[in-house]
Amino acid sequence: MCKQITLILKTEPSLPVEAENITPDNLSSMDATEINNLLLWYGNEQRKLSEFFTVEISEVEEVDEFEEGTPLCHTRIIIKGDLIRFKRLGEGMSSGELLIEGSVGFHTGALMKGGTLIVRGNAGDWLGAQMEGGKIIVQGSAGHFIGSGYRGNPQGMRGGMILINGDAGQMVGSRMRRGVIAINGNCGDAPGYRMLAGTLLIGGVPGIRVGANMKRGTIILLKPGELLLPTFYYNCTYRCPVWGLLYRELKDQGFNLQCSNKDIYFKRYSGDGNEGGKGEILTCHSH
Amino acid sequence: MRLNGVEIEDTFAEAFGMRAARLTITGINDNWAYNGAAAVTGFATSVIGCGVEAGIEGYSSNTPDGRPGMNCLFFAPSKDELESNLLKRIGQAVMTCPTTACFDGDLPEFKGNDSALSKVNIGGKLRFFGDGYQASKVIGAKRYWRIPVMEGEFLIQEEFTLAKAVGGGNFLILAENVESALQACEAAVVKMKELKGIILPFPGGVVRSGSKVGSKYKFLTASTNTAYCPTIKGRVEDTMLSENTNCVLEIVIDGLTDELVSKAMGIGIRAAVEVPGVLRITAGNYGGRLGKYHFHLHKILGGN
Repeated sequence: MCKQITLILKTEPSLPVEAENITPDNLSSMDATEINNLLLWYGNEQRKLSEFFTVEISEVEEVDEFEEGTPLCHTRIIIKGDLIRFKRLGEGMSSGELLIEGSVGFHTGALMKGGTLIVRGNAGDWLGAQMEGGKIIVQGSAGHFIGSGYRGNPQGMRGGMILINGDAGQMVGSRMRRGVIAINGNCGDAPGYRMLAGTLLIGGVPGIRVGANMKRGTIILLKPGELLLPTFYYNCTYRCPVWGLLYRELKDQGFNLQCSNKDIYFKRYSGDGNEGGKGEILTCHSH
Repeated sequence: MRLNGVEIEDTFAEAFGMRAARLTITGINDNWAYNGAAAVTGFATSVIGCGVEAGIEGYSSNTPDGRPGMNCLFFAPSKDELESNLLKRIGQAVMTCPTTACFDGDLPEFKGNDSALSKVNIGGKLRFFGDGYQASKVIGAKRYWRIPVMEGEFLIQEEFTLAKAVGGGNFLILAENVESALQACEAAVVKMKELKGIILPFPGGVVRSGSKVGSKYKFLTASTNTAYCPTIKGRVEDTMLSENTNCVLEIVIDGLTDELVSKAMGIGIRAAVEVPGVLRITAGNYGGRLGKYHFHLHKILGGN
């Protein structure tokens, strides 16, 4: 049986709300009273969760869609309403499912370690910043610094997967160390800035300075836009074997790219030459 | 016991505990996937002389990279032997084959039985061929290695799964002549190959040079199975062949589980006895002293 907790937003707050306490890990062992009394920072004072949300708890029976017949046992939180002023939702969560049926504010899923976070609307800046595992799916667009490292931290995202169906802002995957970020739409400037490793896929047109100062890792551009930085060196045009794996993995996650798996050639560029040139940008040549 | 008039001897096949691995080899098309699979499973009929027993299971309908692919099974007596043979074979036969990639195949036969499984690092060792230009990629919690080669890149999964399995299931077909024996074997092999999770490692699935333990020569640990050799039955005191038996062929089965081996033997024997000229079905064993698994023919075929 899955414990399903539904939070229905009463009215949109006028000040930002720090909602890092709202994670499946925290709420899984709480009853309705404890959830209602959970404290959230509202501006510079703490308020009870019940001031913002109506709480409903139910139990649902589900089976794993991949392991047929295996009963699922986790906590699912469904939040209904426009949460654009709610920050840090799902921060550090390690299991369960958090479904946001609307848009959400900054730092959503930051430091996440596991579980699944789904945003039906748009997400703010710093989505999945420094996350270590799990999966974030945004059906709309997301802001700047997706999967990046916070100021002063040398590493961004260190594992997991972030899937954005719409567009993304600037410096996506900045200093990311591991994991996969896939964006179906366009993105802002400097995607993969100072990237250390991992995979960043951009289905639409990227801004300028793609992969600036990247050390390792892979940036895949399905619709290459501006010229690459001159510190990236062309190697060859080839069928990249990893593409099939990535395509399959994304498809399994329900992420539909606007291209096929077959007959795709990539131009491979090594760079950034200023950082040793061990990173790569693969630009789609034909499909 | 008789099946379609053919005598089924009241005996058993003696088989051994082995370690097995399933590899999925993909390529740009069916032809190159097959070329890689054929090369990596070549010269792998018996652990006695080849170190490993291997075979192609068939085409894979669901490969990790979405390309055409083939599943191959490998069996060896121990984890170390299987690991060293996989390393050599993948390095020499798959990495060298244009457009191929090599993945750890699924083992649904062991679902819920994790204690039978273990991991070995293959890709993580082959990566050094890249001379420092190799790169890893983690996708879906699995690490892959990309090794630059003249054709482009060789992609290989870092870890492969080994499973506790069974090797050496067998049965012997005794016939009036070579044509009948071969026809019976071919019919059996066709049916048995429809079953996934087993391989028939010998040429065409059939072995003519069955062996016994020991030899008159001290330097040999195994020698020809004299009791079943028709050309010397007049000279051998303990011959097992009747007057009208002029050819014996054996089918050896390695399987991921004993249930699969047992099922394959039943399917094969039932197909073989349909062929005219087949006189008797028996099985090879060592008196039950060496192998952990005993496949009794009568039990497999539903007798007492």
